[in-house]
Amino acid sequence: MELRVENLTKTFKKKKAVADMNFVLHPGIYGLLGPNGSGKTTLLRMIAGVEKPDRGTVWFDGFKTGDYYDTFTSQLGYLPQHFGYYPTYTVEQFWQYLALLKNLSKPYATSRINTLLKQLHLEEQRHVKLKKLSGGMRQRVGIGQALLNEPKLLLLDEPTVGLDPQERLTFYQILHELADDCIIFLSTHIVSDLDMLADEILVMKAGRLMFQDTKEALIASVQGHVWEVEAMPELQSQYALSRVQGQTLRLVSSQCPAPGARLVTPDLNDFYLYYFQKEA
Amino acid sequence: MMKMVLSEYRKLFKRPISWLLLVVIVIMTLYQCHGIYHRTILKQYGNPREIVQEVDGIAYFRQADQVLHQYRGPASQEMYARIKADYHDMLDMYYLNAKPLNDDEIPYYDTDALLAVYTGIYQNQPNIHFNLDVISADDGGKSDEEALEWYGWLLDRDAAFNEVYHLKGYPEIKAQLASVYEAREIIFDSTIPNNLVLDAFDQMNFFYLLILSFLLANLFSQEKTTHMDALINSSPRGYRQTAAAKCWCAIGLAVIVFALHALTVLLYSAWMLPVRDWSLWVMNMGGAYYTLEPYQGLYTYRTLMIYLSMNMLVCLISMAMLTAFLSYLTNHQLLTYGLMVVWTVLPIFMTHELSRLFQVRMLEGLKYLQIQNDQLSVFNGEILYHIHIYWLMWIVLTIGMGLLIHWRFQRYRIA
Repeated sequence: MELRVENLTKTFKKKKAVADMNFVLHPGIYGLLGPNGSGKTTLLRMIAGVEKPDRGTVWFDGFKTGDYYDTFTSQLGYLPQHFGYYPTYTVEQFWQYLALLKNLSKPYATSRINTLLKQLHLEEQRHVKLKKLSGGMRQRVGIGQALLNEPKLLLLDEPTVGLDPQERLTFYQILHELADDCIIFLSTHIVSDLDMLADEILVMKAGRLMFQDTKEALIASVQGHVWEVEAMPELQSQYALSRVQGQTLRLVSSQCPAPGARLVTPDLNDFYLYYFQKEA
Repeated sequence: MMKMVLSEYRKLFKRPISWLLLVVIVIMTLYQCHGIYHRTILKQYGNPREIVQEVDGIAYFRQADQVLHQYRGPASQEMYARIKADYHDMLDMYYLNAKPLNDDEIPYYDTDALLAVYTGIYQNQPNIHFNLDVISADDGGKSDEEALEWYGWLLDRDAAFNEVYHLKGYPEIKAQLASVYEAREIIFDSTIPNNLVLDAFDQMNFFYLLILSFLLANLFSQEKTTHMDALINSSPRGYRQTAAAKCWCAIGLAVIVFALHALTVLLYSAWMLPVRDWSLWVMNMGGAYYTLEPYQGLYTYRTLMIYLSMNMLVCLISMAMLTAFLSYLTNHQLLTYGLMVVWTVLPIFMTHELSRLFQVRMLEGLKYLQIQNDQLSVFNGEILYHIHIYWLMWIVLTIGMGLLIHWRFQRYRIA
C-alpha cells in the first residue's frame, strides 16, 4: 500500500501554493511540517479531493484516485484544519451522519461509534450537542469522524489543536495502534507532536517540498548549529531562540554566536528554527 | 439515496424555526379557510333590497346547501321549471313585492339563516339561470342587452355589467356549451361545499413561496458556513450524492408545503361542510362565489382540483429548486433569501404579460382559465393551454438546475 503524489501543483491567483509536489508514503506516520502559508493545508485538501489541483496525479494503492474516487474515499479519513460540524447535532448524530456519508452499514457504524466514544473518552458526551462541547472535545469528535471507517489513509490537518496533554497522549496512542496498516499523514505546528509520532517528516516551504526524511536524519542535518549560551540581551534579537532555561539561552546559528557558547545536541525544534528562522 | 434525503431533512428540521414555519403555513391556511367559510353574509330583502342582518357564513352555506340539494338529479326541463317556479315565488316574496319576511309563509325551512339562504341563493340565481338556460337551449337565449337588463334587475347596473362581461360573446359561448351539454348527462346538485373548498384551496399566495424560500435558503450554503463541505466532499458519497439528496429534499419540502395546505383545507372543509360529490360540474351558486363563469359546466370539481394541485406543485417545486440553486451559487443564506424575496414580490406589481412566468403569478391559477379580451381560446377543448407552457418551462428549468448542481459538484475530482 502506498500513496504516491506526482507533480501536484496548485496556484491561487499568482501565488503558487503547492509547486510540483512529489513524494511516496507507505504505512506509518508522516509529519508535514512548515510555516504558515507554506501550502500544507492545500496539499492535504488536494489529496483528499477537496481542492482541485492545477495539475498532478495522486495514486493510492496503485490506482489514480480520480479514476477510483469512491474506492479511494472509502479508505480515506480526513480531518480538515477547520473542522466542520453541525452545532445542533449530538456527537452520536454527527458520527451517524458521517457514517452515512462514508457509506458504512448501520451495524458496523454503531459498533465503530461505540468503540470511538470509549477510545476518545466521549461516552458521557454521546448525547450532548456539539455546540455545547469544549474546543478540545470537539476536536476529539473531529478525530473520531476521521477514524469511523478504519481508514487506510488518514489525513490530519492540525489534529492536536485544542487538545490538553492527556488528550494528546490518548491521540498519540490511537495513531500508533493504526500505523501498522495505515498511512497517517498529519500536518502540525506543534513540533513535539512530530517528535512523539512521526516516522518520517516532510518539510514544506513556499509550496515546495524541502525535505523528506526520518526525524533523526533531519535533526542530524542541524548538528553543529545549536548552541547554549549565557543570556545576553543582544543575542535575543540577533538569533532565533530555541528556548530559554533560566539564564541559559538555546539558539540556532551556523556560527558560534558568542564567546563561551557551547554546542549541544539538536532536537526537532532546533531543526525547525534553523530552516524557518525568518518565518519564525 | 433515501437515507441521504432523510439526513437532509434532519438538518433542516434541527432548526426550530423550520417547524415553526410549517406551523405558520397551517395556521395561515386555517385563517384563510375561516375567512371563506365564516364570511359575513348579508340578510337582505325588499326592492330595493335592504340589509337587515349580518350572519355567519357557515350557517347560511349549510342551509343553502340543503335547499339546493333537494333539486339533485339529472338536469332537465322539469327540474329547471321547478327551480324557476320556486325562484319566482321567492322573488315575488322578497324583491318584487317587498313584503316583509314572514316565516309562516315559507314552508319547510325555519332556521335563523332562512332569509339569508333565500336572498343569497336568488341573488346568485342569474348564474344558475345562465347555465340552465344553456342546458335548455329551447328556452331562448338572451341578447347582451336583455341579459344586462335581466341582471340589472337584481343588481345595480355596474355590477351587472361586470357579471355579464363575458356574455359579449354569449351566442358563441352558448353554442359551444350547448354542444358539450348535449353530449352528456349533467347531474344537478348543490355545489356550494365544492365551491367553498376550491375557493379555500385556491388561496395559496406569495407567503407560502416566501416561507418555502426561507426554509431552503441555506440548503447548500450551510455546508460552507459550517465548513462541512470538506468532510462531505472527501467522503465516498461525496457532494455528488449529497447534492442530489439536497435537490430531492427541496422538492420534497415543496410537496410537504403543498400537502399541509391541501390537507388543512380538506380537513377544515370536512369539518365544516363536506364536499358532496367531486364529479359534479363546476357551477357558481348559492353565494359560494367562485368566479368560473366562462367554463362553468365544462369541467368537474375533480378536474379543477387536479389542475390547481398540478399548478401549485409546479410553482412550489420550481421555487424550491430555484432557491436551492441560488443557495448553491451564492453560498450565502441571506443573499439567497433576499434574491428570492425580490423574485417573489416584484412580479406582484408587474402588469406585463410576461410576469405570468413568475411562480407568484402562476399561483393565480384560475385566472389563466378566464377569457381574456373576449377571446374564446380557452374553450377550444384545451382550457389549460396557456398554463401548460409555463408548467413545461418550469419543469425543464427545474431539471436543468438540478443537473447543473450535480454536474458542477464533480469538479474537485483529481484527474
